[in-house]
Amino acid sequence: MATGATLTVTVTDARSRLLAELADGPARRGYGIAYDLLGNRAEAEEAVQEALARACENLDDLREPGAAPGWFLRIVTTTCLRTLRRRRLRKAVFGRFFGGEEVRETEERPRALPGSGDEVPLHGTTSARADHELSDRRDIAALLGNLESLPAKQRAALVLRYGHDLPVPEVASMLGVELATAKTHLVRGLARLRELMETSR
Amino acid sequence: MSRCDVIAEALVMGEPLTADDQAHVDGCAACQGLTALPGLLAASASAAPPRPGFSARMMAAARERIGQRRRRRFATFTFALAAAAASAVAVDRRFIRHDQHSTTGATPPDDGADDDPAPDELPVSAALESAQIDSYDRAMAPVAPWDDIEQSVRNDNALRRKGGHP
Repeated sequence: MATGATLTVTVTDARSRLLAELADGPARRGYGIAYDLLGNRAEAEEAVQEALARACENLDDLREPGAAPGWFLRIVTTTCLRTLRRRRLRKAVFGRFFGGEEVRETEERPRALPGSGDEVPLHGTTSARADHELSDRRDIAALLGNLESLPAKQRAALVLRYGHDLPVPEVASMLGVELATAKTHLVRGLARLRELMETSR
Repeated sequence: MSRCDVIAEALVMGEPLTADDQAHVDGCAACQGLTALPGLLAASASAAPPRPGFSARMMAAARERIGQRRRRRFATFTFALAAAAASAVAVDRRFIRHDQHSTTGATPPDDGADDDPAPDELPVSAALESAQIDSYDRAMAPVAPWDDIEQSVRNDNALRRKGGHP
């Protein structure tokens, strides 16, 4: 029969093992999702840290050890949604009472575009390929800006579905909603994003 | 359900478009904009790797957060426990005082200025008050100790009848 001390050690061991397991692969994947949802590194890292802490604290909720990575990514998504809602509320409150939006240090820099290294020259080229790439990058920049205007769940659904290529049932599970609701978020999100893209052109 | 809705749903589910749907897309500006979005969203996803030492940093920060929360929870619990104990002691003392007064018959200690005066002061003050009968209302007030007053008057009259002076 296990004593109290033995049980404590076993639970602590399980937590440490889970933390070590999650902090590698799943945390990197979670970071990618968090970065795409939140748009900056600092907040993405914070979301992953928070999700790891919550996963360790709520270890009892995990029924199958094999489902830990998916479960962890769900926690990351929930944490990001909460951050997005808090950010929107903060902006609304600051906009109402101080006549402007609060600018945080982490939000000052615009998000780096994918492949924004030196390999694609933005100016001083006349080649058709470069023009096409430039146009694509402008579209992506507009898309990233417009994504910010979408409600948190629509944005998360689109990022998970198309940015991370997850099937709709998995998107629904990560958002914690029914399949039909996830589909609605996706369809409405796409329609709204198309409108915003047309307006920004 | 319009053709545009059907196409939007097919895009969401990742189903390939039929020839009819494709013909509709070619002639519909809204659907063209819609079909371009999944590709753009996929291209916008970041492939940027996290900064070096990511796993170790995340583990350390998560441990720190867990520790912080545990300390905060312990502090909250201790504070709540102390508050509950203090309330319990206060309530208990009040009940003990109440019980003592009800069993011994003693008056509770003087806590406020609006309490009644001590019992031994009552007759003097009441007599003084009762003697002021110059107003009719005051004289007819039912609270005056008329028996006492009549008794003293009766004694005076008896003495006077006997020829003595009070």
